[in-house]
Amino acid sequence: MTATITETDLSRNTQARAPRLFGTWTSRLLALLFVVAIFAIPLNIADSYVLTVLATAAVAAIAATGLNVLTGYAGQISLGHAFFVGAGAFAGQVLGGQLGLPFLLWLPLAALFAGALGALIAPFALRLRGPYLAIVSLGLVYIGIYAARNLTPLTGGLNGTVVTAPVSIGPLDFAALQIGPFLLTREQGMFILCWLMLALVLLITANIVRSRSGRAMQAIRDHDLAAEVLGVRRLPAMMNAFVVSSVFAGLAGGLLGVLLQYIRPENFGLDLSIQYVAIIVIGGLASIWGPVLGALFIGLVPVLAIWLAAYLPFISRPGEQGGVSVSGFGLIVYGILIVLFLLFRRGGLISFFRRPGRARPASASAAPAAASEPASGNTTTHNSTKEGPSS
Amino acid sequence: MKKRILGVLGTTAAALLLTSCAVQTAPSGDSTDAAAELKSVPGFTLSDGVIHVGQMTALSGPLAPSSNEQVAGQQAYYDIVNERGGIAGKYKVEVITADNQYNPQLAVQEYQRIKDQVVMLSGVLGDASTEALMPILEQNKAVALPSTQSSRFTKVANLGMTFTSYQTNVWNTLSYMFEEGRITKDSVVCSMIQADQSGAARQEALEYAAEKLGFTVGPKTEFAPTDTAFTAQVQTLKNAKCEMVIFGGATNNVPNLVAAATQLDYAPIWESEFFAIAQSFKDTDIAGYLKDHFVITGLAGDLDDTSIEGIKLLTEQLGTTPTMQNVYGFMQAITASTILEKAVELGDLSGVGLMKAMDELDKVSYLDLNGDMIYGPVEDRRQPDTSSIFSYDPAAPGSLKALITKYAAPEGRGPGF
Repeated sequence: MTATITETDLSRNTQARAPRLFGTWTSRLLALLFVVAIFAIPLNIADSYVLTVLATAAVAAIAATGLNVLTGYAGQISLGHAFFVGAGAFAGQVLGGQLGLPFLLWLPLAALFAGALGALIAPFALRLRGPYLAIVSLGLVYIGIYAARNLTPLTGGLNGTVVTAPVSIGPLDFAALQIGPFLLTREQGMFILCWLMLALVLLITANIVRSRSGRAMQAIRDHDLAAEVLGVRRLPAMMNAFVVSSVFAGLAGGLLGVLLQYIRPENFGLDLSIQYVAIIVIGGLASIWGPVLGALFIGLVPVLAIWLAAYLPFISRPGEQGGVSVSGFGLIVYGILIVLFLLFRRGGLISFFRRPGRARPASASAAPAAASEPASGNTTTHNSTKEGPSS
Repeated sequence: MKKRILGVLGTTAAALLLTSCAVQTAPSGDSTDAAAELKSVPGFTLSDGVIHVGQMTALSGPLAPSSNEQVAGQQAYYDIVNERGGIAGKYKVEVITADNQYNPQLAVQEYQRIKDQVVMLSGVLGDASTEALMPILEQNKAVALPSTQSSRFTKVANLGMTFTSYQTNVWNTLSYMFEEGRITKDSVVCSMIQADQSGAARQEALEYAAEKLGFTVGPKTEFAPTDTAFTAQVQTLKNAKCEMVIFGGATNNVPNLVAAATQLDYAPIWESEFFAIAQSFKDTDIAGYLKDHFVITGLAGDLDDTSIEGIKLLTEQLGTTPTMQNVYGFMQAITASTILEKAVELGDLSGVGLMKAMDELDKVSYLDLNGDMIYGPVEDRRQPDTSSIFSYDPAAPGSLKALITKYAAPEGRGPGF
């Protein structure tokens, strides 16, 4: 990898300046619009199915954002993310449901519990890289399921457990939200809660990414040897990514528990881990909004399949053998779209929203290494094949 | 231009926020008692006269073939009801299906999708899906009929049961085997069960039967539903010289179990539920072992025995010999229709009305397919106390040959079964 540095950079202070979080009016307005939509959508959509799908997508986006920190920004592939989501989910029920801690305590503690597990595991897991780390992290999923099945007093064992952890902050109960004279359904309240938490996670991620630590992760991802020569210490940077990733996963797990109100060990298997990988790949690696778009995509494909099924002759009617079931059709659509994206839009869904001048073609080898090059005035350019989308 | 678009988007969002058209206002505190006259509720419009019920099952994935048979069984009974004019002679029943893929998370989403289109769920496949739905059913004051035998759901006000419990099936089978002399007071009877509540229920029945009949309870071996290697468990059972084993697995576990037992040259009497037996086993190498060493609990009797009223009706409706899963669905539709009849009589098809209907029903009878399910106040509800016991016969319809039908242990019903 070689780099050309402009005169602007040479004249700048040697300490790199962090890019601004909301550097333009557009980004500020979009952020405001996002927050307004968090309240406007549930207040205007009564369909509990749509709200549940969207709330579930928000939770998936939180977990995927965590994975994106590890995979997208730090370049480490993990298939064990479901382990940390499960840890957060069961910890949330133990802390909030069994011990009766309030929402403002149990949710952060559940996230921290998952983060602590991440901190314990990271020094060992991070000794490995690439496919070796992927396989080792895969083992975590099986260990997690085995442990959860056998910690019956905490997890309910194979039966799982009903989640009774509270979702209220003082008088504000998201399960039965009342705003003035308006009564919101549980689904409306949970939509607001999950999307607000997602907004918070996105804000934190955006800050982490532009921080010294975040840039260290990206430097290691882009060229670990060069980064270490420049004084970036690999292990602490990767540890940070692993712990942040686990904390977000734990947070998502806690929210998933109260959203579903019932969890069991099998919920947190390999399928879930792969789903998170699919979300960040489809949405766009190393971008703040990529996991959100990916989660919405994956959440809404089944809805699309149900809608399309009414118009297609080869969909089997329930009670009859043969043909393709609606869910099966959803999987086919899902699979085809993933293949199409990977073939023709490797930058993920987020690439549709980038200005043409900034969008860069992806390369086959660059998916995990998609860099998030700061946009504000940094004119360092690469002649490597690595993609450099900014969030 | 871009600023204008953003401005429009912002204004739209603010307008949506302010209009808040999908919220309801807080109740004023006045309430009136429900009128006895039938009113439209979600899933039933009085002007259409159609009652919609939901059937949540695994329409895709490995369980899809048997789930579709169950749906077909339900539909067959609703067709009979509709041909007779419908519920209370005037309200037709239509089924809306939802695919939970045997996954509790999807069950929650699918329930949210159809809950406003149906008056009740007339079937929910999977104990885990039922568990997942229970909090939502309670919050929505809605009713579901789980497609399960687990007695832990019997005393839940929102749930309506249909089938004989796991405990009763094990107890009846052990009593029958004792009566037939296939086990004696000197026998050692063991278990190989899932480490969950269904396994605990079977173990409870085994220990109760041992106390009543005087045989010895041997080792309890456990496994998880996705386990594929059973050598350790089978070796333990063999070492303990277990003459009979209560097996709590499903279809996917059976080939691996038989493989392990064959390798270890172990051949006790295995007791299992009918859903552990797949029709497709009849053409496989394990069919011989199943025939010689399995007794199976189920419903009704021989599936071509049209002297059983329910089998006769189901056969006529399907135009072919039914499967056990057809019978399963057919019986659930009988439960649902009976509850709906009562709810219409009481003038309320809402969830609250359906729960009241279950409270006021005495029992549900099943056209000679099984014993009665006792309804009434939730604390008095009891699952049927009869079991049909089969041997495995590849030549018989559904590979099941009835040894005895609607058998109830002469020693009486077990406690809490």
